[in-house]
Amino acid sequence: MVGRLNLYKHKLLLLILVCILTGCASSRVEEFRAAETGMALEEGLVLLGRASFSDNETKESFTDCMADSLKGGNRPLRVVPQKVFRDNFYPWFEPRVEPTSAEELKALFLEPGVKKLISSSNIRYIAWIEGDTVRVDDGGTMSCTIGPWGGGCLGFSYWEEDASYKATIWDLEKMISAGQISSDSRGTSYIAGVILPIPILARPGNAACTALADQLRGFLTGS
Amino acid sequence: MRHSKHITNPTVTGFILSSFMAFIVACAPSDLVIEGSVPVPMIKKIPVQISVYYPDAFLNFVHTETSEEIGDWQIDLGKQNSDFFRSLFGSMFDEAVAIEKWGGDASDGPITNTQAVLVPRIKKYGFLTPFVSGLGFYSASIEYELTLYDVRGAAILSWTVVGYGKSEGKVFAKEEAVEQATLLAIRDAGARIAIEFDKQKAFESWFGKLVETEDGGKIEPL
Repeated sequence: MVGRLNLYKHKLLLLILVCILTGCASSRVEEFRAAETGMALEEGLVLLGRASFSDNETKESFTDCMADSLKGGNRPLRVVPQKVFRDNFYPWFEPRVEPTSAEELKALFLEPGVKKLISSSNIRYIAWIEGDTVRVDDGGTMSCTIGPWGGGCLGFSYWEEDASYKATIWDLEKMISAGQISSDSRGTSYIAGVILPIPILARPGNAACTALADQLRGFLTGS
Repeated sequence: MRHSKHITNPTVTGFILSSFMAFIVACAPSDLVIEGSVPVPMIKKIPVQISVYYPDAFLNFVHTETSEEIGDWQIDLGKQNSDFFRSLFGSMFDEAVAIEKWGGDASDGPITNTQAVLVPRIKKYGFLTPFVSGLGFYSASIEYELTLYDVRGAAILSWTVVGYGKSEGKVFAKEEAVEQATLLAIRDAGARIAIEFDKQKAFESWFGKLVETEDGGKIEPL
């Protein structure tokens, strides 16, 4: 009985320690479905980051993170790399000329070679990823000094980040917009300076990536 | 005490050396040759045979910039531009033949077997670092001018296209970020040229006349 209690204590301590070291990020996912979807094993998906040339455009590192997540797991998906897709379909999916609606996609399919290449590449879906991770709050002070006899930090600093992303899914077989998934994650990171700076980092961008990828997998495969 | 000395010296030396290296790297002039993949455009060919004259200033374009904020930069775009536009024009037109000489009129000799001469030029190139723009990325823009002449040397079309590209910044990879942004700017301009060239009013008008004057309807309308 005492041994089991100790085991629980250790597990609780471990959980608290993990939570402290990794920081905490909470995520909310929403889904809007406009059509039934399904995806055979050999069918492919491409994730394209929307580039608006503003400061808040989707970073390639986020779409790469989602692609890595979708390629793993219990039901791995065939994800066509964004760069390969954009090169193969050049110039039609370049940021300033890419289609912005399913209607524009239909018009694009009339261009010579586009529909044929989509069919031969067996790409069933395009997921357009929009959003960014932004800092919404910060505070505290910390100063670090360094000299010939050593150095150190003293103080406390924090910042809160909001990662808000949206995936719009186009079905290339039915030529329709199949739905939208959005993910919103928030997290506060801290650095405590006690001679050595001790970072406790929340990673809302990573949390949003995982949440959006999991939801997208479920949306496409029904799993 | 002696033991302590043995531990401290390499640590301090390492710190000073790494600081010095970081200082040197940060202050070194950035000499950059733009190189990257050249995608082949998937577009319907314009049924025209053209000659393309690449001026020396286009083939050997080097941008140099020196300022207190960003340091010394020398960016060589020549080869990448040349490779990219040869591929682009080769895909856009039924035939695109590079010519060595073009004086802007027919006095340099007749242009045989082609129906027009296209001359690309770079008017402006510029880039911004996060330090200058205050944004979290590097960006580059290139302003091209495409001039299409008929075989007698009269200008048919003069079209300015601006390409824009941006790249996520990294602390010790500023050259890589500027190169990436520049490559994207070239691609961006290329995409607009590939899609919109034959939709320019002046080109449509000239092409319409060309179709009418060709015997037996050799040229298909756009």
